[in-house]
Amino acid sequence: MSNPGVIKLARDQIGRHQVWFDDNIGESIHFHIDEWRIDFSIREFLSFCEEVEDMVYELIGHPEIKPENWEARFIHQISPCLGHLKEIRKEKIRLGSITVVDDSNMLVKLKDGTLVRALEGVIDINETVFRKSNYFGENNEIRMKNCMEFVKSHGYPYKDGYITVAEKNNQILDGWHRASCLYHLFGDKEIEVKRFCFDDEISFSTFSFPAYRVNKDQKIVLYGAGYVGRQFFEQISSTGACKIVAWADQNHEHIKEINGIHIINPQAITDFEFDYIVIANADHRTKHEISDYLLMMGVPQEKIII
Amino acid sequence: MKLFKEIDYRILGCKKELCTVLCRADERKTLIINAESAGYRRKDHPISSDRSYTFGYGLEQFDIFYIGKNAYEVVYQIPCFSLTEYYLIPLDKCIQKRAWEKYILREGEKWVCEDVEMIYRIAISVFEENIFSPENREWIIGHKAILKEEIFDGMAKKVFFGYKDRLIERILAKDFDDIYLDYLKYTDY
Repeated sequence: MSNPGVIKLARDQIGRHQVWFDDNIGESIHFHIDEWRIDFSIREFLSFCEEVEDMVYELIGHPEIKPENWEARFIHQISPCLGHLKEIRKEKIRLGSITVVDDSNMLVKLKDGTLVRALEGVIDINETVFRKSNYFGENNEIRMKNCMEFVKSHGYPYKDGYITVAEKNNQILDGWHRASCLYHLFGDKEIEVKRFCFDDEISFSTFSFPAYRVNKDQKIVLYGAGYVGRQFFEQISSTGACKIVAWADQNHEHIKEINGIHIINPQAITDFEFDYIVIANADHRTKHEISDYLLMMGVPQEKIII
Repeated sequence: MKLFKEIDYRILGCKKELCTVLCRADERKTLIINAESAGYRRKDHPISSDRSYTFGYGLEQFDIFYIGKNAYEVVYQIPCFSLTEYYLIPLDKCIQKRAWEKYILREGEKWVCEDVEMIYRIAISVFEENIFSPENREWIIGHKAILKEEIFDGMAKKVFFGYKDRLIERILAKDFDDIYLDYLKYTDY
């Protein structure tokens, strides 16, 4: 029979394989790959982790990406993009310009994100879907409280631990808790961050509607009725982030309608009154081609959101 | 108890108006018939797979029967919460076997024997409640001789593995307050 004292340490899918680590207290650490299992003592496991960490950072091979600077979880999340990393640079930005992907999967300003709203008492952080994977015994509230205490006692930045943002949209890659605590304490203060610059404009927010660019009274045309467009439509419908006056796609004759909404020919976009056209597409080149097309149709640059 | 007429059972514990009773899975139909004929109301148990709990390693779902103010929670293996959230498993088969091998009579009702009750109370304290309640502390200390018995030792090892000796040491020293955290921090394995 199983050990009741089991704590899931990590779980992932690598290709077709399910991989996970369990701590079976008093017994051993179990490392599972599909139906296979390797048992480690604590000492063996810690030694294994150190070796793997050394290998990972050697493979990454970037002098600035060191284990003491970023959480391993963050490195894991951005690992698919590390091959495209051009530069890491220190910059000063205002806290108010930082964007985050919130509970509704939209890209919003830091002040409108889940964590700042929780700090202000607008929402109950334990009731949100945010951060399902906390440390053992730590709920969202405790995690937030620990972070606030850390920021108050150690200040920012602490040693070489900087909030990390993407090149585009100042989207947070690492340090949302710290940024939210700083915003709650100091408002729209200027802080030093590290910016990860990737080639090919890798976007971390492809599937997140850029809600921080619009408000609920503004009218938008959604351009793209594929997967990204449908994600944006759902996010907008569930939050009322703005008003969709039209939904266009080059493939309109084939798609015809989605959720009762008629998909129009992009040539008809200029028949509508709108504040913005939001391009919903996963491919960087396609997005710029659509943007060029809209510019040729006479749509002002400032009304196009890529 | 009319609910358990012609059924083998073992009471695991009784608190205020709730009794937890171990029955055999193959007698469940008889149990339900008894319940209906004796006027017991059957309701959905609050701990169920419909409410996002996972019953692992073949653990059967629980039943709960009400009559007047009293409730009888029926389990079909002695369950234990896991440290993995919303996950329950049966205690080791040696404990299940021991529960059926021996019983004691209290006021004419069959209870599990005291070594099974001991491991059950400790498991609830660590895995479900994360503290040792005053009632459990009192009972455990009152029956501390069981902690040194070989049969208990075997059962405790199947639940706590390498932590077993340290657990017993702490209990005998009445050091209940820190057992849960000490267990989580245990790394000598």
